[in-house]
Amino acid sequence: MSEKVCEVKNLTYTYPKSDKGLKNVSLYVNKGSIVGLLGESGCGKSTLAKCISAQIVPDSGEIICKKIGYIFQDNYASLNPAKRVGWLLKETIRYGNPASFADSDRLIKNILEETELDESVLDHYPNELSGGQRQRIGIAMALLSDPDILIADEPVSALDVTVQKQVIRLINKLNEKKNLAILFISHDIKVVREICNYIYIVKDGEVVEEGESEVLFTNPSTEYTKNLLDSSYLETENV
Amino acid sequence: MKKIKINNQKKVGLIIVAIMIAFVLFGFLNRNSFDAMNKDLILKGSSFLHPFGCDEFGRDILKRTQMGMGISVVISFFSVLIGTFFGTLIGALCGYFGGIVDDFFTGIINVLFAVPSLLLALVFVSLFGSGMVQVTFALGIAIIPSFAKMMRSEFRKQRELEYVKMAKLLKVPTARIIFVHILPNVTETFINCIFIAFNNCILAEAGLSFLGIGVQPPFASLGTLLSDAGGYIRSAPYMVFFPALSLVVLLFGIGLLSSGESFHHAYSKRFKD
Repeated sequence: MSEKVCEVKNLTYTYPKSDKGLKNVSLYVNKGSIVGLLGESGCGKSTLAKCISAQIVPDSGEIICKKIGYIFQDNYASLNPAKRVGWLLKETIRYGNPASFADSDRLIKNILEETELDESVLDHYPNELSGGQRQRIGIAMALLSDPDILIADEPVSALDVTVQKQVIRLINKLNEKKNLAILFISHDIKVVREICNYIYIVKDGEVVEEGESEVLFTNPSTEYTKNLLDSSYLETENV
Repeated sequence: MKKIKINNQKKVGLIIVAIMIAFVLFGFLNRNSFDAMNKDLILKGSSFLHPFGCDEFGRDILKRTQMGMGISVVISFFSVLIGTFFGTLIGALCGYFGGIVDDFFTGIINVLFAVPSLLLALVFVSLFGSGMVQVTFALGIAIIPSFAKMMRSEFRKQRELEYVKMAKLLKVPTARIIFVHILPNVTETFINCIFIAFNNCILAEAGLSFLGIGVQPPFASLGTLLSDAGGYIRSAPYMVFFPALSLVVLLFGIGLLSSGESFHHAYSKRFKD
């Protein structure tokens, strides 16, 4: 049986001044697996990720997670625009993985190789780089803190299709190489189908269906999932 | 090294301020004679040796203007230093933490805002007496509220950005997030605030000295010179004209420095996408 690196039990969170939020959500992520959180925009996927990463405090429920790395959706806003990339990576090691700070130069060199970035990016400010490069730096920063689970909150939704493919390939490669658990959040069915082993379908703050990726896509059990898949096929046909 | 590109307004501002600083420094080199009286020169107009003319005690107005501007600039510099330090600190704490910290300091700031800066400085001077040190502290305290308010709004914007959330996730100490991560991102507002505050301080100091509660004799500031010249505005208008012109040119130069793209922005170009 695989080791669980993150488990959420009966998590409930209500947005301030609203009756919406997460309702009794439970999920788990095993070591080495890529778990997808799929649902429409505004269904609570990112809120769940924020609860898991302790950015917001849930009303009730239990979260047992090992060390988390976080990849933000907006690769521009998630990198400090006033600092050079080299400084950002060093700062990540200084606080995310302080035991290895003395060896930070080697770690940075390795992570640049793993994320297929050139060493010249270290001297640049984030705005001087392309969207794909910035997202790779976001991934590199998430990995430098030596996490057990990586939460990727819509990591490719702001990228064009070609760069999307490159980033997905990179995430797949890192998952295989490091046996890293990944919680992959997306509203894009095709992307989730391509990358995830196990999927949770979220609707209005609740998990309405879950299952192995291929089983869920070939034999959805709820009406909502069927509609979600149909809308994706329609979209493909229209393209 | 990167080449700094700045707009024409700033270039003109820099040139004006550099000339005014040179004007002041040149005056300080000859400071032994700024209060030297000469009864033969009483109320003498412009001449080759005394281009700004002489006052009612036969003192050279050029030298007194140079000394006066120097004192005004030094007082304003230290006032801005005090206001910047405390204003930034209060604004950063309010903007970053929000909640009760924000409510507490914003309440005080709003009360202080209801009182005009000059009046606030007047109260301070009347409590602690007049003089250069008192005026410096009075003006420094008077600009804290506006500085704090500007920095608060900047920090509120920044704290919601994902790079700050990323730093929090990494458990970077709060003081480091505020001063090392966020502060460099608000330098554009910060620098412009400094120039505006500097301008306001020079004006306020001139106002206080004009009212006789600022710089005390034998020293003079631009406000003192204007105040002293008030009685001679018809018989010796140059006594008003040259100090006033110097004040206006200095304010204009500093005003130009705060216009358009900031130096920080022009230097780094890091915020341009």
